Amino acid sequence: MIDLGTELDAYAAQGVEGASDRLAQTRVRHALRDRIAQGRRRMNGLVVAAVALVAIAIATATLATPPDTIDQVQPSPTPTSVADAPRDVLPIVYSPNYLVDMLGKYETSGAVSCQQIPTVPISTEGSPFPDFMAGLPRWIEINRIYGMPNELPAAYPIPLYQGDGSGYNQSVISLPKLYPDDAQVVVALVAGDGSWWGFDATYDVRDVMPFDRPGMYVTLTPEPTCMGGPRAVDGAKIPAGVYAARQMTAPTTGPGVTTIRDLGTVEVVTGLPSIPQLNVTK
Amino acid sequence: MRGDLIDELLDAATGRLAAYGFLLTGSQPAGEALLQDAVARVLVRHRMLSDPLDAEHRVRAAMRTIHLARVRRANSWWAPHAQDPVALTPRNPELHDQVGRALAGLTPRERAAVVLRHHDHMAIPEIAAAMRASEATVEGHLDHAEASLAATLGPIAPVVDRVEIFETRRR
Repeated sequence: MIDLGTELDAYAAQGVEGASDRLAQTRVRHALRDRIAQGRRRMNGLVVAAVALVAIAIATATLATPPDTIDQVQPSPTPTSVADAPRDVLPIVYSPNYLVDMLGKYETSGAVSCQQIPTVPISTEGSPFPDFMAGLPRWIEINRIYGMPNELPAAYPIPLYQGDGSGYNQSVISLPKLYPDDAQVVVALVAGDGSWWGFDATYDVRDVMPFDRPGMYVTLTPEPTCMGGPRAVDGAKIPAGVYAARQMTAPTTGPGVTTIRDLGTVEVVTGLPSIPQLNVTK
Repeated sequence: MRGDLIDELLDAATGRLAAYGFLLTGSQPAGEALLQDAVARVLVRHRMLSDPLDAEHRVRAAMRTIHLARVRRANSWWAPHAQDPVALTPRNPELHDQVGRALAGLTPRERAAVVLRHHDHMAIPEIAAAMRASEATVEGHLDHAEASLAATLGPIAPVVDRVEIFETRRR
């Protein structure tokens, strides 16, 4: 009988060839320090925001509640708009909270036009959907959508998962498997006033990126014919803010179910916070 | 920023931690990326850490947590075939020996269960908690994985759970 633990130790030793040298490189250590510093700054912001929120909540409750009506419970106001307050702290890229969750879906064997994406009735039946691998991060940088002159081309890939692609290459081929002929993915971001912007989404694994790590990316290309509402006119760019996100996967031709997923809210932020050296507000 | 701790930790433990990452992921680059993710997570959350050995233990635990979270996410709508065996490419060190080939035939969850059980010597309830699965599910993964590994490697010795025994004097 073999002792599998010993065998695994011996096998693992093969997988570290050159690792010490690679991780000792100044560039790698520097990037790691930057990452830690960035994470700590965001955590500081989170703590400050939490303390401020608690303080505001206590102050509001104290001012709003006369002593003799303390037992009278008032209904809390219901949010009426998804595009109200931006988040103070964004989840760190690749952190567990970085990607959106799936909250509900709408499925049909018929065709759904782009204009219908924001309004189809979403059902939460079957939720939660823990196995959904989200197709969007919780925040998207405007410059990754529209580009930046001389620095970043338009429709620049947005990071989803890092790695060498060995775990994610299957996801790239999953769409053709779901839709044997051809498939399209459309992302719609809907503002509180009904304005919405549609984007063609493509997913792929990339290993040579000038500013980002190898991994799986989504590329959002603005689709001028797939937008509507009071502010989304004449090809207007999507402004920074918080939007309700929907994602449609559909067969371009041939059979297949069209699915529209509610992905909760996504914040569009100015600049490129994830690439500090290019982070300029446009 | 405790720059010294990063250097101390990585200078002393890169080999061990990268090996662990390789064992979990089956890929050198993915293992090293996992190591860096774990180092960043630990040093962001635990600013007062000063002992490299303590840091190494925490990084190892973080690697396990992060990897298991990714395995859970990968088994999803978006990657319905993520449980296919790891692709064998000529550059993949897994081709180099029998153990690598046998491991490459496991699903990510089975592989994780095997590493946690046979390498980390974790008990079934601990593995179930770490994988956020039931004990029966973990046992199912292990049974299937061990049968698959045994077909290539021969009979596998069972893991004996360590039990701490305290001797007390009767009054």
